[in-house]
Amino acid sequence: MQAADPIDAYLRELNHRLRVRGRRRRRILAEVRAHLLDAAEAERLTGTEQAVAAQRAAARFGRAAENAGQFNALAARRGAVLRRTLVPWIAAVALTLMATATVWASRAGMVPLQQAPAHPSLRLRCSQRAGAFPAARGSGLNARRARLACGPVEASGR
Amino acid sequence: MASGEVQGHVDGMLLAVLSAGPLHGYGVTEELRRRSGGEFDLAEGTIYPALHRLESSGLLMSRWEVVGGRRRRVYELSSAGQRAVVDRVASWRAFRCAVDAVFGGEALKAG
Repeated sequence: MQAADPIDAYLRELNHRLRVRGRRRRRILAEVRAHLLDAAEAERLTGTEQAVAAQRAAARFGRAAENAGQFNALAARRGAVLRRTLVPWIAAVALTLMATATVWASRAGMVPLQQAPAHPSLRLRCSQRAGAFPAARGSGLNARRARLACGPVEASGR
Repeated sequence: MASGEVQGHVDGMLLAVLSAGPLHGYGVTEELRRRSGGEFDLAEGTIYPALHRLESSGLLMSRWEVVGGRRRRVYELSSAGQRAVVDRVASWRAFRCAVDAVFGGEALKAG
């Protein structure tokens, strides 16, 4: 039985230990493979037998576990930075959308601004009820009926 | 030289090597070995996380190129990287002068 190629064996172990996904993972494996093939070729040019050259190239590259660990740590840091950057932005966009929806609902006469239900699902229910009076849509009558349909809001308001 | 001593300067040395022009990873290790006269005993794999980190921080740019029939990732300095090399070389020279002064370089040579 033929022994496994040292470069293939190294790449298999690195692939197994990497905790990096997708394009970045493919890039790492492709770069390491090209490096090991270059290094083995350089060894062969000095007259070293092919299997030994591949073995030396893999040995000079360092332990797969350590290299994978460095890539994993780098990916973890990158993920943490991304989370720190993205979470405040997503929260800001969500709050802006909620505020816009509340103002829009108030202007459409569905819900008084100061008494808008806090939960988006409540606002949706009120909008749906307001839509039940298509003939009077946009008129004061529709607004009054919509407010009546949202009983609890009307009861505590105006 | 012990790899621990070299490790703290890897980023600066990678930038310095790449200041001569674009290179792929294997080329970078060869150039490091050549410039140091074979003195630096780094595991070659350690340069890749460093190259990726420098690229993430905007000091390097990279692209795929086919060289000698093999696909390789080629790195080069960004304009921020070029400024960083100048800063690091100046900082290293100041540090080296200070260490020489503490070690009493001239006195040691004379002794």
